[in-house]
Amino acid sequence: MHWMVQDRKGRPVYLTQERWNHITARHPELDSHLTDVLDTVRLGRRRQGKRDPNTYTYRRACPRLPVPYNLIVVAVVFRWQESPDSETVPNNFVVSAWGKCVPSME
Amino acid sequence: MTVKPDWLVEEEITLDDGSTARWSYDTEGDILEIFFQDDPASCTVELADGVLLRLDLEHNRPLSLAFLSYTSLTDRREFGPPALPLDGLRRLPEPLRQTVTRIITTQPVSSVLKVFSYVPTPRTRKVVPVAWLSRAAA
Repeated sequence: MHWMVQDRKGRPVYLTQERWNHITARHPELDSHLTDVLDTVRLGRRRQGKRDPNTYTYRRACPRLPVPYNLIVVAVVFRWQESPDSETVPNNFVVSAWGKCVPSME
Repeated sequence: MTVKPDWLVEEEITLDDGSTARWSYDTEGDILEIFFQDDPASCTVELADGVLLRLDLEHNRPLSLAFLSYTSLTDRREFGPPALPLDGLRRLPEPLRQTVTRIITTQPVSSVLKVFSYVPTPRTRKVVPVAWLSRAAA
Protein backbone atom coordinates (compact mmCIF):
# COMPACT_ATOMS: atom_id res chain seq x y z
CA MET A 1 0.00 0.00 0.00
CA HIS A 2 1.21 3.50 -0.73
CA TRP A 3 0.05 7.08 -1.17
CA MET A 4 0.85 8.98 -4.36
CA VAL A 5 0.91 12.76 -4.55
CA GLN A 6 2.24 15.39 -6.94
CA ASP A 7 4.33 18.30 -5.79
CA ARG A 8 3.70 21.90 -6.85
CA LYS A 9 5.44 21.28 -10.19
CA GLY A 10 3.55 18.07 -10.91
CA ARG A 11 6.39 15.70 -9.99
CA PRO A 12 5.04 12.38 -8.70
CA VAL A 13 6.16 11.30 -5.22
CA TYR A 14 4.96 8.30 -3.27
CA LEU A 15 5.06 7.24 0.36
CA THR A 16 4.80 3.56 1.22
CA GLN A 17 2.98 2.20 4.24
CA GLU A 18 6.25 0.60 5.32
CA ARG A 19 8.01 3.97 5.27
CA TRP A 20 5.17 5.67 7.11
CA ASN A 21 5.28 3.01 9.83
CA HIS A 22 9.02 3.57 10.09
CA ILE A 23 8.63 7.35 10.31
CA THR A 24 6.02 7.28 13.06
CA ALA A 25 7.90 4.63 15.03
CA ARG A 26 11.07 6.74 15.00
CA HIS A 27 9.49 10.18 15.12
CA PRO A 28 6.27 9.76 17.11
CA GLU A 29 5.72 13.52 17.08
CA LEU A 30 4.40 13.00 13.52
CA ASP A 31 1.98 10.28 14.52
CA SER A 32 -1.53 11.12 13.21
CA HIS A 33 -0.07 13.71 10.82
CA LEU A 34 -0.03 11.62 7.65
CA THR A 35 -2.18 14.13 5.76
CA ASP A 36 0.11 16.97 6.85
CA VAL A 37 3.19 15.06 5.66
CA LEU A 38 1.58 14.39 2.28
CA ASP A 39 0.47 18.03 2.07
CA THR A 40 4.07 19.08 2.74
CA VAL A 41 5.09 17.27 -0.44
CA ARG A 42 2.06 18.54 -2.38
CA LEU A 43 2.30 22.17 -1.34
CA GLY A 44 5.66 22.68 0.34
CA ARG A 45 8.85 24.28 -0.90
CA ARG A 46 11.39 21.90 -2.41
CA ARG A 47 15.06 22.31 -1.56
CA GLN A 48 17.86 20.34 -3.18
CA GLY A 49 20.30 18.68 -0.79
CA LYS A 50 23.73 20.27 -0.62
CA ARG A 51 25.48 16.93 -0.35
CA ASP A 52 23.39 14.83 -2.74
CA PRO A 53 21.66 16.46 -5.73
CA ASN A 54 19.14 13.61 -5.93
CA THR A 55 17.87 14.09 -2.39
CA TYR A 56 15.41 16.89 -1.76
CA THR A 57 13.58 18.15 1.29
CA TYR A 58 10.09 19.57 1.19
CA ARG A 59 9.21 22.04 3.92
CA ARG A 60 5.90 23.52 4.98
CA ALA A 61 4.55 25.22 8.08
CA CYS A 62 2.10 23.09 10.02
CA PRO A 63 0.24 24.75 12.92
CA ARG A 64 -1.45 21.48 13.86
CA LEU A 65 1.73 19.89 15.21
CA PRO A 66 2.24 19.70 18.98
CA VAL A 67 3.88 22.88 20.31
CA PRO A 68 6.70 23.91 19.80
CA TYR A 69 6.74 22.08 16.44
CA ASN A 70 5.57 24.26 13.60
CA LEU A 71 7.10 22.90 10.41
CA ILE A 72 7.35 19.55 8.65
CA VAL A 73 10.45 18.45 6.76
CA VAL A 74 10.05 15.55 4.34
CA ALA A 75 13.06 13.91 2.70
CA VAL A 76 12.45 12.57 -0.80
CA VAL A 77 14.88 10.76 -3.09
CA PHE A 78 14.47 11.31 -6.81
CA ARG A 79 15.38 8.36 -8.98
CA TRP A 80 14.49 6.74 -12.26
CA GLN A 81 13.50 3.18 -13.00
CA GLU A 82 12.56 1.10 -16.01
CA SER A 83 8.87 0.34 -16.43
CA PRO A 84 7.57 -3.05 -17.64
CA ASP A 85 7.33 -1.64 -21.18
CA SER A 86 10.98 -0.53 -20.99
CA GLU A 87 10.30 3.14 -20.51
CA THR A 88 12.31 5.18 -18.06
CA VAL A 89 9.92 6.54 -15.47
CA PRO A 90 10.36 8.56 -12.26
CA ASN A 91 10.77 6.70 -8.98
CA ASN A 92 10.53 9.45 -6.39
CA PHE A 93 9.71 8.39 -2.87
CA VAL A 94 9.59 9.70 0.68
CA VAL A 95 12.38 8.28 2.81
CA SER A 96 11.73 10.07 6.08
CA ALA A 97 10.08 13.04 7.73
CA TRP A 98 10.55 15.15 10.83
CA GLY A 99 8.63 17.73 12.73
CA LYS A 100 10.82 20.80 13.19
CA CYS A 101 10.81 23.71 15.61
CA VAL A 102 11.43 27.08 14.03
CA PRO A 103 11.41 29.38 17.06
CA SER A 104 10.71 33.05 16.78
CA MET A 105 13.90 35.14 17.07
CA GLU A 106 12.04 37.69 19.20
CA MET B 1 4.88 -7.73 15.61
CA THR B 2 6.78 -5.35 13.36
CA VAL B 3 9.14 -6.59 10.69
CA LYS B 4 12.32 -4.64 10.14
CA PRO B 5 12.48 -3.38 6.54
CA ASP B 6 15.23 -4.91 4.42
CA TRP B 7 16.63 -1.42 3.73
CA LEU B 8 17.31 -0.80 7.40
CA VAL B 9 20.57 -1.78 9.11
CA GLU B 10 20.61 -1.34 12.86
CA GLU B 11 23.15 -2.10 15.52
CA GLU B 12 23.95 -1.05 19.02
CA ILE B 13 27.13 0.97 19.35
CA THR B 14 29.13 1.85 22.42
CA LEU B 15 30.06 5.52 22.70
CA ASP B 16 33.16 7.11 24.20
CA ASP B 17 31.50 7.56 27.58
CA GLY B 18 30.50 3.91 27.73
CA SER B 19 26.83 4.56 27.01
CA THR B 20 25.11 2.81 24.14
CA ALA B 21 23.18 4.16 21.19
CA ARG B 22 21.27 2.61 18.29
CA TRP B 23 22.94 3.14 14.93
CA SER B 24 20.19 3.02 12.31
CA TYR B 25 21.15 3.27 8.65
CA ASP B 26 18.62 3.44 5.84
CA THR B 27 20.49 1.95 2.87
CA GLU B 28 17.82 3.00 0.36
CA GLY B 29 17.51 6.59 1.49
CA ASP B 30 21.14 6.99 2.63
CA ILE B 31 20.03 8.34 6.02
CA LEU B 32 21.86 7.64 9.23
CA GLU B 33 20.02 8.29 12.45
CA ILE B 34 21.68 7.63 15.79
CA PHE B 35 19.22 7.14 18.62
CA PHE B 36 20.47 7.98 22.09
CA GLN B 37 17.03 7.51 23.66
CA ASP B 38 13.75 6.24 22.22
CA ASP B 39 11.48 8.76 23.92
CA PRO B 40 9.25 11.20 22.00
CA ALA B 41 11.00 14.47 21.25
CA SER B 42 9.78 17.84 22.42
CA CYS B 43 11.73 19.77 19.79
CA THR B 44 13.76 19.15 16.62
CA VAL B 45 16.31 21.58 15.23
CA GLU B 46 18.28 21.51 12.00
CA LEU B 47 21.98 21.97 12.77
CA ALA B 48 22.93 22.07 9.11
CA ASP B 49 21.34 21.20 5.81
CA GLY B 50 19.92 17.72 6.34
CA VAL B 51 21.29 17.28 9.86
CA LEU B 52 18.48 17.09 12.41
CA LEU B 53 18.75 16.86 16.17
CA ARG B 54 15.72 15.66 18.14
CA LEU B 55 15.67 16.86 21.71
CA ASP B 56 14.00 16.42 25.03
CA LEU B 57 14.08 20.06 26.08
CA GLU B 58 12.59 19.42 29.50
CA HIS B 59 15.66 17.43 30.49
CA ASN B 60 18.08 19.05 28.01
CA ARG B 61 19.06 15.74 26.47
CA PRO B 62 19.48 14.54 22.90
CA LEU B 63 17.22 11.80 21.56
CA SER B 64 18.52 11.30 18.04
CA LEU B 65 20.80 12.82 15.45
CA ALA B 66 20.02 12.26 11.78
CA PHE B 67 22.14 12.81 8.67
CA LEU B 68 20.64 12.91 5.20
CA SER B 69 23.04 11.90 2.39
CA TYR B 70 25.16 10.21 5.00
CA THR B 71 27.75 8.62 2.69
CA SER B 72 28.88 12.03 1.45
CA LEU B 73 30.00 12.75 5.02
CA THR B 74 32.16 9.64 5.20
CA ASP B 75 34.13 10.24 1.99
CA ARG B 76 37.72 10.78 2.99
CA ARG B 77 39.25 13.66 1.08
CA GLU B 78 42.85 14.66 0.59
CA PHE B 79 42.97 16.54 3.89
CA GLY B 80 40.65 14.34 5.93
CA PRO B 81 36.93 14.00 6.45
CA PRO B 82 34.62 16.69 5.06
CA ALA B 83 33.64 19.44 7.48
CA LEU B 84 30.04 20.30 8.05
CA PRO B 85 29.24 23.98 8.71
CA LEU B 86 26.62 24.08 11.45
CA ASP B 87 24.90 27.09 9.94
CA GLY B 88 21.56 26.16 11.49
CA LEU B 89 22.79 27.21 14.92
CA ARG B 90 22.79 30.90 14.11
CA ARG B 91 19.12 30.73 13.14
CA LEU B 92 18.14 29.74 16.66
CA PRO B 93 17.18 32.22 19.35
CA GLU B 94 19.93 32.68 21.93
CA PRO B 95 18.60 30.54 24.81
CA LEU B 96 17.90 27.59 22.51
CA ARG B 97 21.20 28.08 20.67
CA GLN B 98 23.06 27.86 23.96
CA THR B 99 21.16 24.74 24.98
CA VAL B 100 21.79 23.04 21.64
CA THR B 101 25.47 24.04 21.67
CA ARG B 102 25.87 22.55 25.12
CA ILE B 103 24.15 19.33 24.03
CA ILE B 104 26.20 18.82 20.87
CA THR B 105 29.52 19.55 22.58
CA THR B 106 28.99 17.07 25.41
CA GLN B 107 28.39 13.35 25.64
CA PRO B 108 26.76 11.44 24.10
CA VAL B 109 26.52 13.59 20.95
CA SER B 110 30.20 14.59 21.10
CA SER B 111 31.10 10.92 20.66
CA VAL B 112 29.86 11.01 17.10
CA LEU B 113 29.92 14.69 16.18
CA LYS B 114 33.15 16.61 16.73
CA VAL B 115 32.48 20.34 16.81
CA PHE B 116 35.14 22.98 16.18
CA SER B 117 35.31 26.75 15.86
CA TYR B 118 36.50 28.04 12.51
CA VAL B 119 37.66 31.64 12.39
CA PRO B 120 37.76 32.67 8.72
CA THR B 121 39.86 35.79 9.32
CA PRO B 122 41.60 36.74 12.55
CA ARG B 123 40.52 40.37 12.18
CA THR B 124 36.85 39.56 12.44
CA ARG B 125 35.17 38.20 15.51
CA LYS B 126 33.10 35.86 13.39
CA VAL B 127 33.32 32.25 14.49
CA VAL B 128 31.78 29.53 12.36
CA PRO B 129 30.89 26.27 14.09
CA VAL B 130 31.92 23.31 11.97
CA ALA B 131 31.75 19.61 12.67
CA TRP B 132 32.77 16.30 11.31
CA LEU B 133 31.55 12.82 11.94
CA SER B 134 33.83 10.75 14.08
CA ARG B 135 34.97 7.28 13.15
CA ALA B 136 32.45 5.82 15.58
CA ALA B 137 29.64 6.90 13.28
CA ALA B 138 31.30 5.95 10.00
